[in-house]
Amino acid sequence: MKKTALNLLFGCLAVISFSACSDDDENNALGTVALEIQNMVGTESLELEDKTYTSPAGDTYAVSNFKYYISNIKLLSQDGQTVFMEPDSYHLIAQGGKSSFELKDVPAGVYNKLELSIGVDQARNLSTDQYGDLDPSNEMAWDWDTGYKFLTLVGPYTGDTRSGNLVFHVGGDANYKTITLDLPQAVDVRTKPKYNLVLLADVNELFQGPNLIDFDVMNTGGHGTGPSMIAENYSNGFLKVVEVK
Amino acid sequence: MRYNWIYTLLVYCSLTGLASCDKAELIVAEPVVEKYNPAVPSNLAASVPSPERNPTTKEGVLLGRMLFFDPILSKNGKVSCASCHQPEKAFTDGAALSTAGVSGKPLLRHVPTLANVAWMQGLFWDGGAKDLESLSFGPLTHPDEMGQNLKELAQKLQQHKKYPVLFQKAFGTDSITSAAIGRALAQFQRTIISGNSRYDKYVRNEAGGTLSEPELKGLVLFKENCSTCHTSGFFTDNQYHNNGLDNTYSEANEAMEFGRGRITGLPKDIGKYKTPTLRNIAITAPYMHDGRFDTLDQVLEHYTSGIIQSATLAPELQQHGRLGIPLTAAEKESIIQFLKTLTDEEFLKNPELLPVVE
Repeated sequence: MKKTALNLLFGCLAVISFSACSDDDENNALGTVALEIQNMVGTESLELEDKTYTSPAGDTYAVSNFKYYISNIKLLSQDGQTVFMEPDSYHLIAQGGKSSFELKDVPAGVYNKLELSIGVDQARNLSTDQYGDLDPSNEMAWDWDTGYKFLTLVGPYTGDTRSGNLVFHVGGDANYKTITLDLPQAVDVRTKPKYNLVLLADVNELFQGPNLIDFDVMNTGGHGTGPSMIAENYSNGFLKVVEVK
Repeated sequence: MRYNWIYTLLVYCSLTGLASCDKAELIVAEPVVEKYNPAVPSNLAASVPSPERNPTTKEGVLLGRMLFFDPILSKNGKVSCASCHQPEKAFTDGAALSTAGVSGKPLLRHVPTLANVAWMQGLFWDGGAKDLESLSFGPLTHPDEMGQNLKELAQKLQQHKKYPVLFQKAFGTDSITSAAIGRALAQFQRTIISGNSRYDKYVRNEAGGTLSEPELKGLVLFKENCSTCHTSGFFTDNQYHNNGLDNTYSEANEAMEFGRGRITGLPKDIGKYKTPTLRNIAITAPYMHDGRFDTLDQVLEHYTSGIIQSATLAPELQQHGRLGIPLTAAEKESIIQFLKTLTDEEFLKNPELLPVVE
């Protein structure tokens, strides 16, 4: 009897969830906003492996692996009110992997700002038996201390006095950072149903502002309960929206 | 009363159904698998806890049990969870530092028992794994344990002739993911329950629950001297302590020897380890996080005369105006006699905790 009631309830919910589709009119038309993220080093596009870059502290480095989570994406109005929040919003951006995704069913409205977080929020950082971009097979999960790497950057470096491998694995709740980015042009899904936001992510910004990272001094780390200098940097100028099209 | 409720629901459904557009399809949810409550001895707990996202089900436990004993989970197809967690040894392997992994290299810590792991808070010796669902990805992927890439594991199981059906039954989908693998293994591990030793029967006033005079004397001494940390029931307080084994802690291997301090990053936690359960302790030698003591005699000797002073040493081990716990040779022997009553023969032979016979 209990089961019948339960199935009935599910069936009913399914019907209710579909019932919205006939109500769409011009006032609550739903749009799509795509985010395209290009990883850069300064003004150049990031390339894995062969290309060598110069860090803000003057060290040289290359990148063999670069991935980070962008999560809990919101579109805000001019006055900073949240108008749209993507459900189950976790995106693993990987150089050589995923670089774009779509915010679907964005309700009618004028959006001037994009809010997002770098990392995985505490509620979802307590366990790693998760799906999609949070699947631990994406090699962003820590097994010995349950949680996610929010950002990983690995590659060889040559400093002034030493050389070796950069291994930055940044995670920990203190390093989950929420940032708000201004859109260079407002998004209004009533006038256009599909927008593309072009974002640039500058690897060199991980190594400066506010913390200048000298690879001779710091070339590994990031894990821990305390704040990471790189996390402070990625909440300051790492990501920018450069184009709305 | 209930009919009324269902009737209301029906009316509501049909009304909302009328309002919906033509494209609407009625999706009826799959029947939910039956929740399963493994039997729990009354002196342990009322029931087995499980997180909301992974309720214990018969189908999930069966799948987890198949996976637990299946070497398909390792990179070379030769190592299963049970290679180190052997049922007849209370889910340990008898080695100080196991070499049973795919690389054959000794691991850095001693294999802990899985008895009553459902109730343990903070897993691994340092509590780094926060729940059983997440824990398994550690041994599965560690290059010296099972060395298995998780994407490849999901593919191997997906191509297997039996597993997709078992995942379908347990989780409602035959699409195999890391999460479902972790959840099935967790469900099985929550059924690894030990609470039918002679001591338990004594506590419950059951047949077979007779303790001898020396054992009873040992129980009294145990309560006086050991039970602050080895709290009865599960015989652990689920906390982390420095029990005076060392006073230097290497930073090698990402500061493995920092113990709990490696996880919290706090100096006050350096050298602390999770209090292990003492259930089946007589058959889970060697002892300590690195398996340094071969016998219970050595362990008791450590607590009476081997404690090493350090900044994070447990206060419980320095409260007699000296280091350690003052015990005579006879008292130590009585405690050991008592500890042997914690061996649970029914648990060691429980057919539900052995490989599935097909």
